[in-house]
Amino acid sequence: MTPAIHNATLEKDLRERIGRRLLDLPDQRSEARAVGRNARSRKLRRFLSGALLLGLGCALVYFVQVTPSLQPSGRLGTLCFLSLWSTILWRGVLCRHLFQSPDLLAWALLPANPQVVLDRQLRRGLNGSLAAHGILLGVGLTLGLAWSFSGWGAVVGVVLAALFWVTLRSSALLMTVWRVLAPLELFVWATLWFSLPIFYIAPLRLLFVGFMNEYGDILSYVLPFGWILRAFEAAQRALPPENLLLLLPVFALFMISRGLLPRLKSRLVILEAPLLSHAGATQEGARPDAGASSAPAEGTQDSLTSSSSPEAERIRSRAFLYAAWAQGPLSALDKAWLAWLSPRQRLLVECFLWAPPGLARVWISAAKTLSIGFALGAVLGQRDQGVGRWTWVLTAAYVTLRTFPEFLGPLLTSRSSVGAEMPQLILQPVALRELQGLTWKFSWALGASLMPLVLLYGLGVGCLSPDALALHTTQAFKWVTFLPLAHQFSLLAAVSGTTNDTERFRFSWFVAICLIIGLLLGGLGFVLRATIYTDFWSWVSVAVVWMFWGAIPWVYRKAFDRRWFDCCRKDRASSA
Amino acid sequence: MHIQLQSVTKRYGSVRALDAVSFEILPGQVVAVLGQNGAGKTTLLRILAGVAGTDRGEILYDGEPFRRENLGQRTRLRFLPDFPPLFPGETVLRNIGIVLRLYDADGAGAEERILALLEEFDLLPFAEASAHTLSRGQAYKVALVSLIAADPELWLLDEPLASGMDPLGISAFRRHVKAAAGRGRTILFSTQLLDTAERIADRVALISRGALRAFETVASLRERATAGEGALDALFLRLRDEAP
Repeated sequence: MTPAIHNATLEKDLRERIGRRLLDLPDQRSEARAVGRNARSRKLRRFLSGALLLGLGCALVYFVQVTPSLQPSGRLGTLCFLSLWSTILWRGVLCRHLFQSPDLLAWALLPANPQVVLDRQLRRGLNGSLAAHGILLGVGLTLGLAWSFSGWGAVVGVVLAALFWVTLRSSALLMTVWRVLAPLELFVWATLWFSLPIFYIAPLRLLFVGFMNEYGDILSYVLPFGWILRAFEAAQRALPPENLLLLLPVFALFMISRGLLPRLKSRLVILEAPLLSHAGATQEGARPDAGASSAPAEGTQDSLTSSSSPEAERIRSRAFLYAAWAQGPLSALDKAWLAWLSPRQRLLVECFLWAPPGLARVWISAAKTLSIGFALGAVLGQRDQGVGRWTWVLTAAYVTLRTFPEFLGPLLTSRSSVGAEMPQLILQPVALRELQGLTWKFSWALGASLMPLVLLYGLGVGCLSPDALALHTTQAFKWVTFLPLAHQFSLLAAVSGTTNDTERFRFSWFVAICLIIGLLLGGLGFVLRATIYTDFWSWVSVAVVWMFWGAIPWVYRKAFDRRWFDCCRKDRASSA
Repeated sequence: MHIQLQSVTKRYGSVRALDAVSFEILPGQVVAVLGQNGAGKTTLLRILAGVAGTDRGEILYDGEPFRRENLGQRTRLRFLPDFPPLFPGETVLRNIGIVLRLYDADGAGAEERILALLEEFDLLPFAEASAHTLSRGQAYKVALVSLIAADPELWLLDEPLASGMDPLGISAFRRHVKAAAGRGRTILFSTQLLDTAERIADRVALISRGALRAFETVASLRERATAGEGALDALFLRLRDEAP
């Protein structure tokens, strides 16, 4: 059990004594009264805010109930929507407490065991996210009073689905933390990855049928991701219901891009300070004795302040995975793999996966624009094929023109704003120059492989015959959803090729090679299907696309391998 | 605590914040770290606290190499930056309580000690206030009270005399530094104020552009300076501008 981070008896005793002493001072009596009043008012505020949120949840559901235009499916959709929204809220609050809380700065200067810090922040995050639980509870209570038996059944179904999802994620988290049965982890993570759209989209699909047509316009201006709801609404009107599934990958991409957002800029650098120190130690060649030096002082420390190296390592992995849990699918996958990296490699991957604008911002921007443009093209193409085709071509051209300079910039100027993005890194024993160099190399490699792909694919699809457009819409989304997966494994393939820690990377290598083979076979199937249904030029375009997909891992390796690890070697040599 | 720095070097990109700095501090010594802005004072304190790592060189605490991940070593020191971070959502009492718990200093007699310190630093009325409602000077006082109450072996303070504390707080700080040194605590603080450093410190470490220009007692530094008002200032400027 986690020990208390403060001594409650001491504080209570002190509070009483301070109150008494202030009462003895005539001019301090009001403060003395305030001492007790503050504690009471804090409790009252918490109670009132909980009650308010509960009431809000009840009111929302009541509103849905009394709206006659909403059919039962619409009501269920609304419930799902509220649940989804509450989950997002909960995730955000949890994430903020874990990685963006100013408390972390205070913790960084105190000799606290990272596990205690993590547990406390997690507990605070859960307390802070009572808003979401309040809304959910309100929804449940109101539905319990208002709905029929079938309505209750739907509620139970939704709750079970949510529980299933949470259980899966938690299991994966635990398994990855404790590093048992890697193939099983892969299975679980893959299940999570592919089941994600079902859990997110199924409720939304229900929602749009009954609810969106009535309140879509209002919601689209109020909600943070209203624009995507509008896109769904348009799609629902334009497409037959069964084709709405075409938009699944769009939404998945949206969620992925949310996960990729560098919201953890200030997050783990502090919690991970020991890890960074490890990196420094490695740089100095002092790593071998780190385990011995991190042993707790005998007899003087309890579990609050004690730390051992393997334990600390596990905790750090856990910290990453809590982040993953709170963040979303792609970062979850990223961070699961990070558990296999050595501290230094993990740090570097962390830095240029989330920190540098050259990769994160441009990549997210490109993914979002592509999603919207392709979805729009698909929708418009149902009414007028010519418009649909031109939408695709223009989207591809726009993304290319908009993002290519971003990739090119670092190449020309050899500058990066890593330092500005992550000022904490400056405090750490990491060679900033090395990070800067890595940033633009990585951006360049990704950009070099992505841009021709986008351009050619857009042009190729733009040249398709009208009949083949719908098919290619499906195929395009399927392939676009593969991009993040390819990104993960390609990165690992690039990293693992030159490490000496072969045991740790054996599994990553295996997965990366499997993926590459899968890409090749998938690409082949894609091309064969394209030749049956489309004309020559689309065949050429998809073949080129497929070649670029297959080339990505090699581009990574060529771009990074030598220079990256040369850089590390130089560090060690200069330190020696 | 016996502190040894052996050729400690730290770079931030192309900037050399500390350049092969070596010195030794004995238990019970009070050392003022002097230098112009950007000289490397704060970096030195951060490295001593484990907030930043070294690029090269080593720090020994009582002969044992310092590692940030060694919580046993970190429990023996406390670092207060110029803006000491508190837990903003917690009360002053809880902030102090957390520090004491982590330093295993919340045993018998802690109540009396804290009560006396809160009164001395004029913080009693704010004991139940949230930390985020405090002014900078008050926040520094809270951090200082927690430091004094925890009483670790090594105190590291960044610009305590420019921390926004009122004269009452600064005067109490001086008293506690002297008392702590008497108990064998080692204290390092950075400052820009020569006269104050002279009054509080036993030794002065003068850093300029990352290099240690002088590390000697205040008395010997005074001997090197010519007689007359402002002589120490002149010596300081001369040492600062000397070629390394």
